[in-house]
Formats: sequence, structure tokens, C-alpha cells
Amino acid sequence: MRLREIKALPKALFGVLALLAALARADQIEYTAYTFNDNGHNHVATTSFSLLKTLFEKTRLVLDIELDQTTIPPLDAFTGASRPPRQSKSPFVKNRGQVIAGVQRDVFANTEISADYYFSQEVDYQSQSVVGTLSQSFAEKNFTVELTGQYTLDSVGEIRIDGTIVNRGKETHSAGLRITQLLSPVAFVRMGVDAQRDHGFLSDPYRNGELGGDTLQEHVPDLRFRGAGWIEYDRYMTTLRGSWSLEYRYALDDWGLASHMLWLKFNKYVTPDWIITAQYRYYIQDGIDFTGYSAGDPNAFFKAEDYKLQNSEYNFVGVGATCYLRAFCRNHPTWDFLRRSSVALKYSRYFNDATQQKNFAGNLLESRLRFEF
Amino acid sequence: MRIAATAAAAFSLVLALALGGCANVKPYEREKLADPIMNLDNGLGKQTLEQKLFSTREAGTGGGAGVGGGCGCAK
Repeated sequence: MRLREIKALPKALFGVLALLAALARADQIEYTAYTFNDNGHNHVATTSFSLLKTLFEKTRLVLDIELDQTTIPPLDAFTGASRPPRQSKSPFVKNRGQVIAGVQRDVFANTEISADYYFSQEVDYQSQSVVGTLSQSFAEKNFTVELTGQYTLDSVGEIRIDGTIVNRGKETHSAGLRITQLLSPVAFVRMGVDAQRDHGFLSDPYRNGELGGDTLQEHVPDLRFRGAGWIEYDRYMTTLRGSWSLEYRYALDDWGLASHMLWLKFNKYVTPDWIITAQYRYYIQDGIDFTGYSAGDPNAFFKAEDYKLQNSEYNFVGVGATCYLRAFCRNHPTWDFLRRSSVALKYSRYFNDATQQKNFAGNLLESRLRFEF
Repeated sequence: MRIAATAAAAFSLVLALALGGCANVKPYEREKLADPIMNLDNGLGKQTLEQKLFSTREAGTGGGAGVGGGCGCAK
């Protein structure tokens, strides 16, 4: 391909995407691409497409399609990667497809209901979920209460050494309460509580553990209750032309795990069309010890290498920039329909404290193109 | 259980303080609250890859309703 053709490619791609958005007559269309790499040589590439469209006067359709490809390196003692042992000397590559379809409807002036269906499929995992939400505003929408309920049915597959797949079931019931209160013309607070009950095969089928000198497949209890409370404060900074938010979340479960999370975000206009963002998130958890598990399951144990169940702490830092396309519309009136659309690029790094546990570090790159009309 | 009771009490206290001390913001005063800079993450997707990433390493993250169901990549 000649250089001139290569230079024309982004313009052509952008034109096609804008045309698709216009043809769909959507309120909002979003294309997002993610890539993730970590120091265990795991790689994930994701592309997603989302659409919001008003169908009737008070009803909106939401559609989200996501495709991703995960590459897990060959099995070795160092990574202990979670993957089938079959063809263990080759990378394990699998694709996943996901669809979320939902409707939102304004029932009364201050009441909104929504229902979503979620479906995810990959070679050794399938998940389906239904979600219902009721949102009610009070006092001229100064105060909003949102109730959400969700039921999820998963089929957890295990690809065995001979290539056969064994599936086991898992079901999840979740509920959440979220409230939002405006505090002033420049600040609001959000807070909520979540609860979840997991039942079924909750182990990782590809993770093994030691029990009495034998190596056995990981076996954790088949029932788990989880709960969390969180609060978030958001504030606009008039003099700086920016905003900041701070979120704290506390979670605990009946397996004995407790965790704290603190997340600080900062956004600032550097020009009327460009926004830069910075964020820092800190997470810490106590490990799980099933010897004290109240159900007293004598066979329950976990593998010490399961990082998700150990004492751990993680840091997440990110920077990004968002550009509103109105910056380019001023000299091109025919492109004025793009004035609310934007392009964003974000880079984040997620890592742990290497002195306390097995070192982990990963890089996440996100690019997003959002058409809003 | 004592931790849960403490968390619930703290949450109730914060809730009471937040709701008791707030002003009534009129619709015409919400220009800054509606500025895109106040909610840059308000995408259409129900769950961002960031959240999926956290749930692959953190046993206390996730849970609650309103996000996608499980997926094998979270293992």
C-alpha cells in the first residue's frame, strides 16, 4: 500500500463510521477499542460498539456488542496461567462475543424503568443475565433513588486434556440500591449498597490445589454471599475549569474477605475543546481462609497460588485526553452535526506491591470514538 | 457481623449528613453539573474493561447488580 493511501485510511474510516452513525439516526453511537498486556504475557484485545436510539417518544433502545480475543501463554511454573492443560506448549487463544440489549422508558415525569438482557459466549464459558432497574427522582430531581435487580446463569466449562468439555452451572442473584443527591450547583454525592448471592460451581476449573499430598482441582464452597457499601463525591471547580471526584467502597463476604477501595479522579479543560484526565485507585483486601468457613465443608480448600484469595493490594494510575470534534467543525460548517461528538485516548497501568506477593503489572490502552447527536 | 453493623451505621450517618445539609438546586442552576467534565466515564457500555480488569485480580470487586454477568476471562 502506498504512503498516500495509508494516509487516507484514517479519514476514510472516520467517514464510514460517521456515515453509519448518521444512517442509524441514533442519539449516540460509540466505538471503543482496548488492548491489555501484562507481565505474565497475557494479552486481551477488545472492540466494542454501543448504540442508544430513541424508538418512541419516551422509549430508548440500548445495544452493546463486544468482541474480544484473549491470548494466554504456554503453561509454565512461573505464570501458573489459568488455561486448559491441553496443548500446553502453545499459547491458548480464545474469542468471546457479548451482546447487551435493553430498553429504557420514562413512565412518569420522574420515573424511569429499564430492562436489559446480557449474553456472553466463549469456547469454555457461557453467561446469560437479565437486569431490571427502577429510577425515581424527587424534589425537582435533586434526589434520585435507583433500585436494580439482576439474575445471572453461567455455564462454566472445562476443556480436558482429551479435548472434551465438561460444563458446570452457577447462578447469581444481585441487588443494588443507589441514591444521588445534589448538594449545590457544583457538587453532588452518590452512595449505594450492593448485595450478591453466588451459588454453584465457583471454582476455577483450571486451578489445582494440594490436599493431603495429592494434587486436586481447586474446590471452594458452592455458596457465597457478598455485600458492599460505597460513597462518591463529585465537584466542579469553577476557577480551574475542571472537576474532581472521590469514591470509597467497602466490601465483605461470608468467606471472610474484606476489602477497601479508594478512587480519585481529576478532569480539566486545557482548551474549550480538550479535556485531560488523571486518576489513581488503591485497593486492599484481606485474604480468605476457609478453615473458619461457617459451613464447615471438610473438602473446601483453596490453592495458595490463587492471587484473588490472598492478602493483596493493587494500584491503578491512568491519564487520558478527550477531544470534542467541535474543534474541527468551526471551519467546516458541513461537519457541524459532529459538534457534540468526541475522541478519547486513555492509558492506565495496574500493578501490585511486588515486595509482598507475586509481581503483577499490566498496561491498558483505550481509544474511543463517540458520536452524539 | 460486627463489621457489617459498623458499615451500615457509618453509611446511615453519611446518608443523614448528606441529605440533611444539602440545598435545593434549581434546574436553571445545573449548568456546571451537566458539563461533560463531570461525568466523562458515562459511556453506553454497561461494564468497562477497567472494571473487568479489577475483577480478575480482586476478590472484593464486582458484585451488585447492573453489570454484565461472569465471563471466563475474569478467571
